[in-house]
Amino acid sequence: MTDGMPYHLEKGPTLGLIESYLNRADKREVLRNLRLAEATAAADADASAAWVKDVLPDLWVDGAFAKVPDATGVEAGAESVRAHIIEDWFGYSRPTEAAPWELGPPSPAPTGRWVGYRGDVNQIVRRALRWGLEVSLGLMPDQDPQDPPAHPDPATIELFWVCGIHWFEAWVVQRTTTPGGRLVSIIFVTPPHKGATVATSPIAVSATTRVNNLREPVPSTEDYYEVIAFPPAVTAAGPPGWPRPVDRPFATWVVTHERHQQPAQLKNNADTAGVGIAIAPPILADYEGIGGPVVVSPSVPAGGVSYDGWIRP
Amino acid sequence: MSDPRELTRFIERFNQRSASNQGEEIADQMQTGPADLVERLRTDANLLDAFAFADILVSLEQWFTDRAPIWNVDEQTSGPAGPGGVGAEWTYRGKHDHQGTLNGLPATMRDVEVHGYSLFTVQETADGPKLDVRRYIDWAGLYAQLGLVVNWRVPMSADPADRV
Repeated sequence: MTDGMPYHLEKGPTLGLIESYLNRADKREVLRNLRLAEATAAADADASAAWVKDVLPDLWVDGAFAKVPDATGVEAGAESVRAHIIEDWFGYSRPTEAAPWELGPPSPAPTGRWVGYRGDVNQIVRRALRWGLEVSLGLMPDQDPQDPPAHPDPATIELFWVCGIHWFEAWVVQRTTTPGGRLVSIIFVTPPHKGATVATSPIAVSATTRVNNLREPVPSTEDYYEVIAFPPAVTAAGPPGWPRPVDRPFATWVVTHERHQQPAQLKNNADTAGVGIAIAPPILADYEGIGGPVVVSPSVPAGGVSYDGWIRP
Repeated sequence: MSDPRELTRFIERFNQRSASNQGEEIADQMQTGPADLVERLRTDANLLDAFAFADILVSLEQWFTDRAPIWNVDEQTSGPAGPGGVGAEWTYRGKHDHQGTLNGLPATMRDVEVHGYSLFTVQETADGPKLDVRRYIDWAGLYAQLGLVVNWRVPMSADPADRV
C-alpha cells in the first residue's frame, strides 16, 4: 500500500506484513476482536476504524515500518500506513493528526482516493478479514470462537490486491493444499485510485521503485525481482541462499507481453468524415502487446513477495 | 457514400424528419453540388435540422431505438459557421435496447440522451469539392449513461527516464 502499485496485482510490503502477522497471531483472538469491532462499529466513526490498530497489535511495531517513505521511525511509519488505510481506503478524515477520525464528505464525493466510487470500504475489508478467519478456523459466523473449531490447525491466509475495476470487492477463496492442508486467499479487487498508474512493461529498468520526484512508482530490480529466461536457458544464479525460482515457497509471477503500446493514440473523435456514413464508437484507449511473453516476479516494493514470505526491516 | 444501404437510410431519415420527401434530391446534391447544398443549409433552418438528423441517425439507429422527443436542434447555436460552413447543435434521445452492438454490449435498456455538434463544410480534393462533416459528439457523456467507465489507471513506461 505504501510503495505504490506499478503492476495490476500486488501483495507488496504492507499486505505482506499484515498477512504475515495474521498467520502468526492466534487467529481465534483476532477473529474475536474483529467480531467485537463489527458489533460496536455503529458507535462513531473513530471507533469503527479502531480495529485497524487493535486487532493485530504486534504488527504495528514491526521494524519494517521504519522503511515507510518520509517516516522518522517505526512508530511514525506505522501511523502513516494506518492513516493511509483509514483515509485513502476507507474515506475517513480528521482535521489534525491528533483528532478522532470522522466520516468523509457525503455523496456524491468519492470514498477516499478511489476514483468514481462511493462505498463503505471499512465494512467490506473488516467483513472480508472476518469471513477469511472464519473459513480458516472452520467456524460459522454464529459459532463462538471458543467452540472447538472444525480446523484445529487454522488454514494459512494470504492477501492480494487487484486494482482497476468498477467498484470495491473482496474475494475469499478457499482450497485444499497438501492432504489435510488448506489455504484461504483474500483478494481485494478495487476501483482505481487517484494518481494510479500501471507500467506498460513488467520488465524493470529502475534500481528502485521510487525515483527522484516521480509521484508514482515504477517496476524495480529491488529484492526478489526475477525474470525467467525464455527460450529456456541457464538462469543466472540468484543471491546466495535463494532457492531456484520454481522452488520458491512464495512468489507471484506475471506472464504477459514484454511491453504494451498504443498503436495509434486517439487525438480527435471528430475527424473529417463523409456525410451519412455510419461511425464506429470510439475506443478511448487501444493497446497492443509486443514481445515476450515474459515471466517476471515483481520486487517486493513494486508489489511482489519475498521468496520466503517475510518482509525484512 | 460507399454503402448504398447507408444512403437509403440517410434518405429515409431525412424524409422522416422533414416530411418534404426531398431526401433523394438532397443526397444527390451532396455529390453534385456540395457548395450549393451548404449554402442552402446556411439559410434554411428546417433543412439543416433534417440534414443533421439524417446524418447522425445513420449511426445511432444501429445502437438505439428512438425515444420521444427524438431530436432537436438548438436554434440559438446552429446556423452559418464561418464564411463557408454550417453547424447544428443537436440532442438525440433513444433507448439502448439493441443487443450486441457498440462493441458487443448487451442491451442495457437504459434511456440515453446524446449531445453533439455537426459541422458541415466543403473540402477541396483532387476529385473536386467534397461535402465533409465533423461530428463533435459527447462520447464520454454517452458512455457514462451506459455505465461504462474510463479506467483511471494510466499506463506509463516502466522506465523512469521516459517519465520526465
